[in-house]
Amino acid sequence: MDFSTVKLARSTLWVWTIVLCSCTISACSTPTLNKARSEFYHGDSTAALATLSDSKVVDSSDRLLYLLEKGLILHEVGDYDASTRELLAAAKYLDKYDYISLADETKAFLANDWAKRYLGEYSERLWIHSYLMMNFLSQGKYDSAAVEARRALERISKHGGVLENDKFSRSLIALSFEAAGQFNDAYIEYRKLADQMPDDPSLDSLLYRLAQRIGFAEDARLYKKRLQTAGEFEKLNNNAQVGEAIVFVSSGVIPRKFSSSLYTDYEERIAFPQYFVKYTSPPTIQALIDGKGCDCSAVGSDLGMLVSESLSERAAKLAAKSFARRFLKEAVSEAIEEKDELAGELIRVFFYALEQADTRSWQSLPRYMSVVRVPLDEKSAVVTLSLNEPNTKRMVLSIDKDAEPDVESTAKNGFAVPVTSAPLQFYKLRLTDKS
Amino acid sequence: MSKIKDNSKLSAALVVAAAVTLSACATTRSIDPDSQVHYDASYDFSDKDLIVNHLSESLVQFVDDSNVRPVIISYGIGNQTSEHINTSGISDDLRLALVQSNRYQLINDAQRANIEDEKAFQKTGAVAESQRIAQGRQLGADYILGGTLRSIVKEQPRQIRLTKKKLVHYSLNLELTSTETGAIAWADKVEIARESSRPIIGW
Repeated sequence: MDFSTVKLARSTLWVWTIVLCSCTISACSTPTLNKARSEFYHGDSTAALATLSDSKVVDSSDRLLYLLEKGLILHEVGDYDASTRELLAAAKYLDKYDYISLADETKAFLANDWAKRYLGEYSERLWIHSYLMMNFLSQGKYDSAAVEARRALERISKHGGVLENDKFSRSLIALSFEAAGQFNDAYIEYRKLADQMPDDPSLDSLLYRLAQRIGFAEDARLYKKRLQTAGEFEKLNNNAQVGEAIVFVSSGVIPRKFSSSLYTDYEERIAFPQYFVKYTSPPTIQALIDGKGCDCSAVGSDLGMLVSESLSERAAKLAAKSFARRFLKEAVSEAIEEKDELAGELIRVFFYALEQADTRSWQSLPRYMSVVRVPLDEKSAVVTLSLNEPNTKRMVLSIDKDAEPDVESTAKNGFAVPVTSAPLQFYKLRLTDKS
Repeated sequence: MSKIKDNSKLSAALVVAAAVTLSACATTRSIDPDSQVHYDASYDFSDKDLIVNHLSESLVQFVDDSNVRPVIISYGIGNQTSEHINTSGISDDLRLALVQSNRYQLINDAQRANIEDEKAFQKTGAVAESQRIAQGRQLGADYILGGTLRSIVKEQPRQIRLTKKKLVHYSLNLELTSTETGAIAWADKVEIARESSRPIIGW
């Protein structure tokens, strides 16, 4: 055996050892999850749920994503009990792994962040509680919705920042407290919301009613004055409201993360995840009662912007880690290169290819979410909700309990549901972009 | 050569011994239900027992030893914590303690619908008239028993440290409201505060 053959054999051994180690610990997005997402977005929720029927189909590091995607799809098909089970398991998973895992960090340094357990963006962690609140409210389990509202507040207090701007989740929190009869807590949350939306008179009328109810006379006077100035107070007094239809409206598809690269040299780079989210004005929701305009309110959030800002808040931390990984990999390459030049070069190329940003995310989420409140009186017969989106669907709430639901709705896949006689009635409407 | 062999055997034995020592077997053991066992700061059965024992004793002492046994109906305990706690476990145990004290009569409102069904069935003629339930003999409640379980959770702020501390404070307020006057005739509360810590870094 000549010298060059021995050298090549040794290089190959070095390369294969490191390649094997890195490949073992680095992981790719579980294909099953992508399949289920695709099925869901093509309107086949049954197939998506069948794909996700066994939790073993996903890699253990993607366990949270499995629970999130399944929980959301089950929510969309109206199986609130099963959805709650999955989402509560997701919240428990986050609590369990709420520490810095040495094993995960080591794997991430040797390979990339794909090797770590996915623990979600801060905003995604908050939306677990938002979906749980919607599930519990839809089932009339108001005390449980209020429990989730408190957990959501804990999440906001823990991560702060961009989560404070999520008006949709804040609205759900307030609504959950209100439905559970915990008016003091509801009042506090509606006030926070009103501070973010100073020009919305519908919140003033809510706050006026709540302030009266809990005996905050001074505050009630303040809101009365504001309503009188806006010319809304008379309307409030004339309103023979007997109940409210509350519709959770979602539309669009949340943007996906992309892997971006920063080249530090012609053969060295660091990769980091990024969202490219273009601001588009959220869809406006038109609500009609018996064909006429109504004093309906809508509070919503752009989940795409929020998740993007949530990732940006972690950008400095991610960049520091990526640079540290790059220096570690460079040190390993140089150490090998000193002993074996060819192996060092090969390892450098391999590390270059391995440098991938973790682009995992909760992809079944919609882009926009809103809470629409439609006041109902004794005479209300048909409530119609529609969005100004090109592929709009119309939702028709048929108030006449004795009549069959009006499934006719519109030519564009509208649907109808009967309204019950409960004071708060919850519905959901989701528009998905199938393109 | 034999020395190297002996060393290998020793190393192998040490590895096996360490593995056996470190590996854990699944075990099950019975524990005293009255013992205080807390794995973390969250609500558990020890807390339930503490709450029920304290409040039932206080409530039993509220009535004197006379033969008048007030009639109570319980409409449950509200959960205003940030945990999904089934508070009916507290109401059921309180009800049990009050019934066993023989100082109160408790109305079982959960069986009202079944009682009505049974009455309706007896009226069908399947039951002899002499054996049918007499009408108008249901008890009217003198008091309503109700309360709220609340919690305040405080986590240690971000700072350089090795463990994360969490403080949880639970309080259960229970009230007995007169159905005649609406006045609160009796009230008491139990408070539990607990701190837990968990490491920030783990495997």
